[in-house]
Amino acid sequence: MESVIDIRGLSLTFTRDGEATEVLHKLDLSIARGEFLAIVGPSGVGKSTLLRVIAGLAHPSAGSVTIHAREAGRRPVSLVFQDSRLLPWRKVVANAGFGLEGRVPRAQRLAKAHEMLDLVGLDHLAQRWPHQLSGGQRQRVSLARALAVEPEILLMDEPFSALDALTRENLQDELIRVWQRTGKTVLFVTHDIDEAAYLADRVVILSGAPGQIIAEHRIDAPRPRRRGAEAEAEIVRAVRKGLGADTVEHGAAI
Amino acid sequence: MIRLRAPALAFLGLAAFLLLWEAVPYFGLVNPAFLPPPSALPAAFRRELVSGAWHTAILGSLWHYFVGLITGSALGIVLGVVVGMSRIAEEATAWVVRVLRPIPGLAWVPFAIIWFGVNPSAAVFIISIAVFWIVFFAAQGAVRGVDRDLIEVADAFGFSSPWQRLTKILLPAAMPGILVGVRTALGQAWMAVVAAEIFGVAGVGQRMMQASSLLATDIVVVYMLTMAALYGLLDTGFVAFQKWVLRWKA
Repeated sequence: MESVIDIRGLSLTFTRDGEATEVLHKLDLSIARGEFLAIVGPSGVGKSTLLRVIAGLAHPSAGSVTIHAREAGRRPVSLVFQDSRLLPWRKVVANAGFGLEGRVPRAQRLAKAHEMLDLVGLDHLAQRWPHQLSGGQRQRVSLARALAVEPEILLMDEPFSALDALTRENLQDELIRVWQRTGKTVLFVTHDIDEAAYLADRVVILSGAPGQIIAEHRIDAPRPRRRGAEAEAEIVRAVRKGLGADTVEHGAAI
Repeated sequence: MIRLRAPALAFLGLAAFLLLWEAVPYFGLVNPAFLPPPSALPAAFRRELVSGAWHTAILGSLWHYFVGLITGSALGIVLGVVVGMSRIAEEATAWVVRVLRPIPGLAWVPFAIIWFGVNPSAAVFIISIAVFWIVFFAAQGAVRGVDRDLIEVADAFGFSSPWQRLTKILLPAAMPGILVGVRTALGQAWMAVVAAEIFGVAGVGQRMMQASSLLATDIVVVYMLTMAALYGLLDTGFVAFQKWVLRWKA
């Protein structure tokens, strides 16, 4: 399958107060176009750092990240943060259209912002301020903002981890729906194994210090999936075991 | 009942204050020429209104006030933002700021007169200096305190030039802090107005000096109260403006 991101020998070392800490160690990973890939691992393992490198917000110490963009001159990736990070002084619609400012005419930008808000089911709140929204609504706006720039790849950094369980499940289903409708490539970072198994085509496990890919699992269960279905439960068990013992060889697939 | 207590007490307190003030000269504890009783003030106010001195003084002072406030604030915001954004600018200006900052506004009076003469520009200059430092430090601190996470949002969407950062993130995010500085400056500027006019620029300060040299203390008090009222009005107006600008805040 055609890959959209190729990561080769990626290492990253932070230096703070003259002390160097290696966060990521020799990562190799390819992501296929249109794939929904989840990266799972414990807190502090460098999952967010990996996303930041792919987004161009941090630079690798060694190795490379290649993004095979279809269109040159436009940012192929867009990021959804854990804490929504809406700009509080902008109304919802202005937040959704943020990434298009100065790039497309105003009327087109507004139309796109409304279209994306509609896609996440929030167009009726377009004129609200972010502080008037619930956590789940804020995260939807954040998703709309990321989609408005028509990225080829959506990078999501534990986007649902701060939400209550019900809202989280709603948004997971919403995300799958949006993903199926838009055909984007999604790179989804989480520490929630159930979430990864429910959402993804493939789960990659990052563990250790420095973080390395210790295993990956392909999930072929058809969608819509049932929560807690046997195929996923198996993955969850395997992942738990892998994370607990750290002995599963890279490439061990089920 | 509870709801009315605070305003009722405030009113009683003010009434008691005025009564005490009235009583002190009335019973001859202090010479009325040194402390005019409040009952003498309406007549003094009328005299000033009729002669036209009140309008002239107030208009002169308001003009100095606003030009000085706007000049000082604008310079304070621009330089404060630049120094808040750039480490290099901060390091380069660190010692200059240390040298100039402690000089009181009034210490600039000799230069104000030498550079501008005894005319409105001199008063504006003194007021601007008083305002400048307050706003400068407020703006610098507000810009430096902007949440790094929000700046990262701009980066993540490819807005990484200093100008884009400034207009899309730093200025709006720093606005609450900048406005707090401007509101403080609003009060400081009034103090500077009197000081700047005492050396002879036409306005409230000059009128007060004239009156006091004639021992017309009732007129001095009229202008003191006029300034309190004007400040109250301006501050109320500014708070409303601030609330409107920051209407996005919870």
